[in-house]
Amino acid sequence: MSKLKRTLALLATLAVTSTAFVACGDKKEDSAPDSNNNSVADNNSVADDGNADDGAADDDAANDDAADDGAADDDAADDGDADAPAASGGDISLPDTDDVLTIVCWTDSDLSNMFDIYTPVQASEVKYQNCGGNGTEASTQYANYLNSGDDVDLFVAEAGWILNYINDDTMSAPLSDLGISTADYADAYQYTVEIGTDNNGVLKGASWQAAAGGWAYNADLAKEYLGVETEEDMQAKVSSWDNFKATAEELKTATDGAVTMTVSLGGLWQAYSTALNAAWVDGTAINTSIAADFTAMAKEYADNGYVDPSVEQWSTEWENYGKDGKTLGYFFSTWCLGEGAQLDTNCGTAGNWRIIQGPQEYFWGGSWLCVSPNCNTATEAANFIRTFTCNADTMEEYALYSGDFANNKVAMNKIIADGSNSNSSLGGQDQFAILADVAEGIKMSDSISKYDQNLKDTFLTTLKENIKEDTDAIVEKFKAQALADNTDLS
Amino acid sequence: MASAAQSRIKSISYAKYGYMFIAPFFLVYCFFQIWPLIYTFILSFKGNQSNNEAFVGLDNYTTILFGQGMAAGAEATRQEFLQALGNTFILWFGNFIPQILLSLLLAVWFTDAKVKLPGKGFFKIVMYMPNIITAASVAALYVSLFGDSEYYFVNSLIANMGGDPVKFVTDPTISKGMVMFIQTWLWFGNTMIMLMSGIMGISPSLFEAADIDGANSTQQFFTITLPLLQPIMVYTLVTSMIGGLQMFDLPYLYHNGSNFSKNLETVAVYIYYNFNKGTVEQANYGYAGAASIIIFAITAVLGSITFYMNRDKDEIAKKKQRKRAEKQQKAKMKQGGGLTI
Repeated sequence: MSKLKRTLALLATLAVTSTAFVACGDKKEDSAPDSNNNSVADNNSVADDGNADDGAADDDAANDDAADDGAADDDAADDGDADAPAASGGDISLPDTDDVLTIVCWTDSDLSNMFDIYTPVQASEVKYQNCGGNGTEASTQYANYLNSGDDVDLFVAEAGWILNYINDDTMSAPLSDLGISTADYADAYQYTVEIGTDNNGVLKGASWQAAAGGWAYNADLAKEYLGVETEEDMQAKVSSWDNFKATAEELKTATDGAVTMTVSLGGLWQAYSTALNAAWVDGTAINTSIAADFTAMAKEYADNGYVDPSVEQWSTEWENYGKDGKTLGYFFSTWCLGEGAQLDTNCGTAGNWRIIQGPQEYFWGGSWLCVSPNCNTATEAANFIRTFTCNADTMEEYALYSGDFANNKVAMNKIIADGSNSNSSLGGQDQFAILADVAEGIKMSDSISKYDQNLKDTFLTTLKENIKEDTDAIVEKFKAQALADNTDLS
Repeated sequence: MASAAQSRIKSISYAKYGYMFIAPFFLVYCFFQIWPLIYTFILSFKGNQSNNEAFVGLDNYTTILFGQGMAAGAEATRQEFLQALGNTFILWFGNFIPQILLSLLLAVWFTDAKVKLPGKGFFKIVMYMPNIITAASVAALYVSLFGDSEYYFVNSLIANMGGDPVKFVTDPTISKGMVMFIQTWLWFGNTMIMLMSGIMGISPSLFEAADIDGANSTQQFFTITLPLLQPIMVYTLVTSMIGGLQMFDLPYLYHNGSNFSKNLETVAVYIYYNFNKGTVEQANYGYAGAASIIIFAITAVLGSITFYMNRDKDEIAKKKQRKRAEKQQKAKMKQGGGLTI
């Protein structure tokens, strides 16, 4: 009897002990499928394993290049036997032990479009795992996720903070480990390759989009107050920053200040900062010249009512400016123009909108696919990256399907030449034709650093909160805060 | 035989099963509570950002408290921390004082036998209700009601009446006032219930006697209720102080856009921000650790002072008297004993 009691006590103790640690997590793959937010992609069920490359060849026989064929090969260890991967440019050195390709991201909106296109060519199950609610959150939460040991093959990183991850070998592996080299990106827009390259010149990130930006404006308001009929005339009126300011003044006079030129400092900053083309950090010293330059401009725009400095970028208020016809235009990147994006759903619902290049060639954000060092679905991962970052045919399909500006000159030039794209929220205008020139013209600043994102955020917050003070005081405040945040800098 | 069995029964100790049952808790506690606490101390002596492995002694403390350290932004760090500390105290005082006054008033009304308020239960529930809503929902609620522009409810009313929009969220002073108000609104029900239980613990015969003697309710309040409520008041003060110094959720959540508001940055927000900004190479673990230890020290000191000030003086005086009497007794005994023997 007492033995029974003792055994029961022991069992209970063990049970309590083991359940106490249940939240500690483990390295099993099944913890990923159990997590939330990945159900949508799961219906991209496993394609018939053995016939995967046949299926791909049938569907895309005309447009599949050798690389794609090879990568779509079945996922049995093909390092040795198949000659197709060798033909695709490099050997895959990462393992191929798992049959689920997991992509970590913060929003599935791009990926779900990709999955729709990818389904016919995939050989194994592909799913995504959300980590963080937006890009900023993801930048901090990825580090924990990637270290947690949960299954991750590829992850999506944003322009502002990709350097933190690609310059850390414990977080990311070179694309050459998947047999992909810089040579595969001859048709890509050059700046995307530069950002995807780490400090040692190793290619670690590949982007499927070139996030070129333009200036979208309400053509009805332009006609009413500025007498502008065509996009060309409008472009002439905002072709430089001087012209932009002059037009803003003209608009202010015509409307008695009721309509602003653009809405927020955030958009203005994004376009203007590209022109400054200076590094934020020089060695370990913070370069405040960018901040001083933009602060002077922002104060002038705010004082004259060309923008509303209190409006938070992307807020409801920001959207309402466009909806209520209180602003002439927005600085919009390619991903603001697609179906279901800002222009379509909120900002551009009233009036007749058009896009032009605006005063400045700039890019805004953009996402890169990076490889985790723990990638264990190498063949499928390589195939996925090639499909959306190297293959002109699938990238064209993706651009037309999603409205996103694909990072491939051949694909985009073909779409523009064919005239196959028309954007309903821009009155049937082909935004790609406008943005293609922008994308070609984007030049990367010489030195970008891993502190940039934090410095930019700090600067814009400081600027917004202190816009009434004079330029020197704002710059001084920004520098103090930046130094307090970053002990590495001086 | 019997004796052998008896001795065996005696030798069975059930204590070890008890230990076995509580062992899991202590294992988990050590692992997830004690060790992180110790590790916070260790971190506070280590560097920040890319220097986070190195032992830097008291550098983080001197930087945060005196603006003297090896980082170029030492002075700015000190100012930021002091600002956060100042905000913490302002926000705590600003919600504790109205909260305790309001709760006390309501508690007295609800417990007063003469007032006979109808629907007491209903009011108690309604007033306690805000406390069960999560701070995240509350912040979302208030931000969407009190947003800065005329697109939000309160400002649209103001605009309709011809006023300019009030910056409820971004103005440094008004936003602090809003957070104080929300905190008061959230917590006065809880404090009220606590004080009511304290008042109901006071013997009714005291109030009856006072009534018969002709004391009015103000006199009763100041001479009976308040003095006898002191232990509960001290408890409320201490818990509120600990909670107030660690105030995080509303100051962190009450903002527009994606960044928390610097005007509302409390020490807890400062710690979280420095700990959690980006990858390991970007975070300031040292500052976060040092700030945690400093706020811990402040809490400990303030807590001790509160207890010291509110200790039962009569009891202590009595104790002293008793001791003195004992001593005298002993001395007498010795003396007397010496004499008699």
